[in-house]
Amino acid sequence: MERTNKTIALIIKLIFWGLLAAFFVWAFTNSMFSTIVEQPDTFFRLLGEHVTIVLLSGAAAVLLAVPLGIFVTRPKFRKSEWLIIGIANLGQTVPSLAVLALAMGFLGIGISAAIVALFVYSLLPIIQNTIAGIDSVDDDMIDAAKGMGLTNSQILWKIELPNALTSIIAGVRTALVINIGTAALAYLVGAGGLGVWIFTGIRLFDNAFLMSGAVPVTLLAILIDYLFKWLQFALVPKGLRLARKAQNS
Amino acid sequence: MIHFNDVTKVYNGNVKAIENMNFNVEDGELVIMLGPSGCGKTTLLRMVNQLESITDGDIMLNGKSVKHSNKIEMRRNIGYVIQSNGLFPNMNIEDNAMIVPNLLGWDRKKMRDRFNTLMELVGLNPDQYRKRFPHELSGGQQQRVGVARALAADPPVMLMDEPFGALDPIIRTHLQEEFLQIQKELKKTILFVSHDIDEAVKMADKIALLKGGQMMQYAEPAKMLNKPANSFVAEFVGQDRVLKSMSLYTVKDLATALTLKPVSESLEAQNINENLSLRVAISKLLNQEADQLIVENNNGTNKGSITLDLIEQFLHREIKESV
Amino acid sequence: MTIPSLALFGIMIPILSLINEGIGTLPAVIALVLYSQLPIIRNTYTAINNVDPDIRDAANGIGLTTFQRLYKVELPNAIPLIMAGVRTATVLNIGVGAIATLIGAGGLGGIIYQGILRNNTTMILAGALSVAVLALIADLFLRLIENLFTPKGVKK
Repeated sequence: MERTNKTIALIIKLIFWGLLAAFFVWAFTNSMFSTIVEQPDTFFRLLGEHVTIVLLSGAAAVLLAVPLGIFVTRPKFRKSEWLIIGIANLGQTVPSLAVLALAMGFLGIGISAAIVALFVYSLLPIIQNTIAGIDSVDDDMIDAAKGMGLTNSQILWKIELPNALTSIIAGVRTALVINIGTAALAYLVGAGGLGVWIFTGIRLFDNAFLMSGAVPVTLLAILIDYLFKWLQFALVPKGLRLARKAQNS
Repeated sequence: MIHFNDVTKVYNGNVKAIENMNFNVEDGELVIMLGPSGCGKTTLLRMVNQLESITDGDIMLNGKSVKHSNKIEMRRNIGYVIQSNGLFPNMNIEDNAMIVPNLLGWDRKKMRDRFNTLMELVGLNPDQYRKRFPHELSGGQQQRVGVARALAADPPVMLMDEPFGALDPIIRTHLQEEFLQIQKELKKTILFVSHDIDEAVKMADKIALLKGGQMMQYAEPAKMLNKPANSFVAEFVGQDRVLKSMSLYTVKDLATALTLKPVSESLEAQNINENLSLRVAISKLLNQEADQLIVENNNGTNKGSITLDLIEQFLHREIKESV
Repeated sequence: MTIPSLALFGIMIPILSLINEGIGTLPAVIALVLYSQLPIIRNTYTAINNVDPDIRDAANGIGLTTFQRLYKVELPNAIPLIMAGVRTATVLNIGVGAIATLIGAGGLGGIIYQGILRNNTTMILAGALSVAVLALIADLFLRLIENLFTPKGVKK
């Protein structure tokens, strides 16, 4: 059973990598990435814009969403949890394209509209994961901490946050990966980014432009995803990784 | 040390969890609160360190009202052990055990020494476990660390909520015995919640038997077994209560109270160490042909013999005395 | 999930233009199908995996075959989580679907896009609201179905 599962997983992996390799070979032989080679300066400018939008909006979202998540999990404000989550959930049903467009309506054309839109869009996953992370801390653990005379803020810093860290980082990771994709739409509000080439490609039916924009965006998303996976490993206390392992086995 | 004065707890305005509870836990006593689930024993325990509020009445801890004490400061002076040990998975064993001293601002050297002492006390090698994490330890080991953590700042009072309840029977017996040894040495004032009558008989100086938020009987284990206050107590302690009470006395107790019989050479009789309980003596007597056991002390010196008649005599005497 | 939606559309176009379907509905549909897979597969896997091992053990113990166990025990217990995956995928897809207009697949996103081009906030709002309402209705409808198919004992 174990063995067949592993074999199947290996075959699927091989097919996947094979297809990927075929795609890149095909793309290169048809000089799909020629735009990057021909205009490296533009490429790095667009990449810089893209990363700036993602990082600024992401950082702002973390600064607001994590404290907000902590706030609604305080016993006194527990009752406001449904409200915050409700608003955030509703916000998620509004398409990212519309959020961008609306931000432009208020802030005009430019990079600030894109940053604000992406900031708003990142809040939900981070708030949700912060709340879920803190909620998942075992009640007995909090009880023991209280019984030993830890103050509420000591419980938050020493117990709740370290134990919720995995979940919070996962939320930031989701938010950033989504953001990288949404930032490709930033071109529409005049904020630049790699979306510029993608849209040029679509409009001119020029596959070289299209691929030179789309593939780096994808790679950027995958890169950030892996970076945060690593960060999760590096930042989360060792005892918690063991706890997780013990639970899954 | 702990005085319950007319303590009452009412939930949602009308559900009475605890009704006019009055009793004292004296200095250095281990009191076990016993009762069926929902009897209010855990609520009562959690009222002492104010994890539950008190609706009416008050609890005096060392002469100070717990209602009017600073909760945080008070809790740091009370050891607290719960069933699922509540160790923090993000901290290693040393940080877990030393969390209260750490909050109290002890210096590093003092904490290290304290950790070493405590770990030796609970039977774990300090250096072997210092940097390990809770999930690398077995349930019994985790609970030992839980006890060490509660003892860390040397609190005069300890609250223990079914501390050995989640362990398997063999480990539980081990930990109970070890804890009794520790208690003999440290003489803490301990309030302990249990649902296991055998645990209570074995460990408690006094047992508080609760039902529906009311005290059914508050007495020494021997008295509760020999003279149950009412039919509920009698039923709770079990029909074999007299046999249970036999585990409270050693052969030596009997030898001090009564004269042992001379040893008759006629039949092959087994030996029994005088420090073993009468319960063991009865079991051995029933499990052999001869009607007597040869009592010997730790050096193997023969001190006479014991019979079922003699035990019965001793029992009558004890029951009369405990009235 | 990691692959950005517009990028996926973008990569789709040159590949599909090999069969002369580069722009239009087909790349949009393919991209959305790919997108839905992850939340649904992940939730279905987690749901069946999370069924209490004791229940599974009991099912084996009373002699159910693997298929009977899946059909009678594991799936009914897993429905809420599986449906949660379907709902996530649907709401997500309705949002991503709005972007499909940019590769010429039409849809409600077109209203938003026109709004952007003309700098018309009313149009943007109208487009955004219709997409949001569509997502909410779809979510509600799927909840209804979930409710219908979840055994009483499994509901919280």
